[in-house]
Amino acid sequence: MRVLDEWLNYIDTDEVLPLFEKLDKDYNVPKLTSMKWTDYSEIVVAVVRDKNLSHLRRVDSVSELRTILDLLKEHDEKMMLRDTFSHILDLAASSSCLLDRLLVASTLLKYLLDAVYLIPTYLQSQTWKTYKTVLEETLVHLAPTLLQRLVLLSNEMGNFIRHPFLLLLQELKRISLQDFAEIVELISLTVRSAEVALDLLLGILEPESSRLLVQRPIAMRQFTSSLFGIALDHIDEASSRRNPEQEFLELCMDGYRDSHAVVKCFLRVDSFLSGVLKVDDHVRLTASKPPKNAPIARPFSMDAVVLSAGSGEATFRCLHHPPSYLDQCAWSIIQCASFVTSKTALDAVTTFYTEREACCRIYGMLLGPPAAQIKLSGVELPVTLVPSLNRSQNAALTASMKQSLTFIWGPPGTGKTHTIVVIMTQLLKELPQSRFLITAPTHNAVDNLLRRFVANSDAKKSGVVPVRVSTQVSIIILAVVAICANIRMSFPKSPRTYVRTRATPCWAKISVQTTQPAAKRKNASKMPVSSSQPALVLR
Amino acid sequence: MLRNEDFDVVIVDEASQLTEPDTLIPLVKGCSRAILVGDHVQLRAIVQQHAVLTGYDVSLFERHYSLPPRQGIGKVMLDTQYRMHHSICEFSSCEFYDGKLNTAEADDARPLRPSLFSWPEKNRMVWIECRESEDLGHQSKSNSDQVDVCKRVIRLLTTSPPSTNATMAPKGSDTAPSIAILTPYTRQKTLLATAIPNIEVSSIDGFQGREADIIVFVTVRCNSYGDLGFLTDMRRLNVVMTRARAGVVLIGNKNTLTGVGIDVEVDDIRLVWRRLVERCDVVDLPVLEEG
Repeated sequence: MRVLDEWLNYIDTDEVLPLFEKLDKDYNVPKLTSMKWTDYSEIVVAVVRDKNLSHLRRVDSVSELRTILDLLKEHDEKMMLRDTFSHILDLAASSSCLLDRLLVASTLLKYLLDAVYLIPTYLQSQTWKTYKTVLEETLVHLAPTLLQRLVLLSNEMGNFIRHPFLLLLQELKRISLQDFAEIVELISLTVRSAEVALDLLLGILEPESSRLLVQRPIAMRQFTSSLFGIALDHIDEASSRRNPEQEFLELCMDGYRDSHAVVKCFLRVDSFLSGVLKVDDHVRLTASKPPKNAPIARPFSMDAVVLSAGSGEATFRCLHHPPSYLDQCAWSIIQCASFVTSKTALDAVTTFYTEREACCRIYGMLLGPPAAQIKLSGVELPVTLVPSLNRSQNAALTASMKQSLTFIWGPPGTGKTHTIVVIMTQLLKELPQSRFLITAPTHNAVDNLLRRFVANSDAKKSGVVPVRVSTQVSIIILAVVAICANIRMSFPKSPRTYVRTRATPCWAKISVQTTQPAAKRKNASKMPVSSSQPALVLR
Repeated sequence: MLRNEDFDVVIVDEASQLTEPDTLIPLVKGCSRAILVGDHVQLRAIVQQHAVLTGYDVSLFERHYSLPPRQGIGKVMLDTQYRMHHSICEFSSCEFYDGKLNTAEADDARPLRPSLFSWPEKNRMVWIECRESEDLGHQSKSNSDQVDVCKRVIRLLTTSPPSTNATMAPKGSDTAPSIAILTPYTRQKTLLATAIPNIEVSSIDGFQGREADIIVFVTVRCNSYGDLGFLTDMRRLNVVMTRARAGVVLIGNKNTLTGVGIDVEVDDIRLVWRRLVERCDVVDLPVLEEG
């Protein structure tokens, strides 16, 4: 026993040693002081190293001009870059430079893409006023990208992006719904303070949108407020997660996709993140500490969306462009929120207001007044009043059969579900060729409907076999299968009815399928149930 | 997966709990007929605080229901409810459904199992007054005295009167009524769940769409300055008051809720609370006999 005691004493320790040390790395940002100047021309050295702007007068090629600007930008000399930029603009305005003035003006305009905070300097210069008519088309072409890059600066510059953002919008005559939605999407992913977002969305974009968007006023209002709502909802949700995971990542570049940089990291076996990161999660990657040669600078931080997350490896689509020292430093990660629901909603709104009747034949009705009287053909269907329904329920049934858009106000305990089931069976009978989609905000509501639908005798007669398809297969399907044995689990190629739930953050579906020949059914059951992939976590 | 599928007919249940963009998701797939079902005087979609500023929580259903009628659009209210005893239904019908919500069940179709709790003869809404203040501090509110009162109420509700027990054999059909305790505050919910282990305790939001025979509503708020907090939300009040089949027991402080006897502005919300309290019969709990 004494040996045992000694042994226990020996192994008993409070100290927990990590399997791996937390990795943290020193890195440097590029600085002008550590440059080699031998490769550059005399003028470039004079301007950039010696900060002697009077030499700009002697610049005689566009490439030399770009070299100067690029050098300043690469080394993050914002003030110096702005001074140089405005000096060149002044030179061009007073025609005291060697280069062609229009050429300078257009070069500098295109250079705004690399340094969007110079927009006010440019747009308020004499040079721009002189060449506005010639260069306006270029500006309109560049504008969506410029606006997006301004949004990306919000984390660094906060409210200072307000002024350039507004100036640029005021130069524009119109903006497409698509571009507008893309800007709002970028705001929802990259603006971290709700105040800045509110200012951009409600303070600038909203007042300007009535001028910039070509739409009926009510459509324009609904479109913008829907987008703003989605964005603000996501920003609040993302900022509620503040603590980074206790783990640093090493990132490296992995090419480009849709003009966004993709970065890759390897996850260790014991990584907290493996199994936690899901595709389309919104994450924030921040350098673990300030650079060694700029100890008081704020560490660079970028927003990204998870592209893939397998075992041992994850890739991210970066919204900000990764810095040149990406692979030299360690990165902390904050998992903000899933972007799936927000993205789906953003896309639906954009589709609805751009494609209109092409994507939804009752667009005009859903939008609200005033609308031209659109009479859709084949709307009125015969209705069979059902004795099991009361007077108001039968009225709801009649309306659903006669109108193309019906709102049923169902107070508590008024037999909503039963009414819906009867409406479904009659519609299925009258529209045998149509495809149905049934949705509700919770799994419970959908399960309830499905359960009642399969129990309904008329529904049985109609020969449809409901199939509950969901991304959380293991939980939901099994529950439903237990209730009605004739449910078949599959992803049918041409389902008659789907039920969608917004159990956030992903789609879960129920489908109802007409009984198919055995061959086809076999085929369907062989299809991989895509939800065997890690499904997104239910909140 | 459904991204490229088309659907002609779309039915959205509980459409009043979806934001407008969420409602559009199934509708932009070539829809030519849509049926939206919901109740816009119950809770809306839950959205973050800043998104409320743009009206993001207002559903497409609610926006449309307030619009004038138009050709081609049907609006029907289901006006007969099969859940509540009529004395419970009347309050919500008057306050939230323009008095149009009728009760299908006869009064005797919702019997209460005899218990030590002294239900009034006709009215199924009772008030139990609790004068002790809410607990100080904490962002989420609680009221430990109301926990005690609730515990006693539950004990009374679940105990059969001794006379029936002694004289009759237990009836097989007479199953115990389902009871749920609802409260708007998470902190109070936790306290209640710890104090009363065998009865379901839920937040109001979590109980939307469900029902129970008896609902015990613990209102928590009791202070001299008449702060109501969550209780100003009339949608939430509507949800609580429409969950019970047979009876509602409200535990609270009349003065705080109705603004009577304290110096606060009497707004519409206070008036609703006054009318609610007027509809209730006050029941005093029997004096505690320790043993």
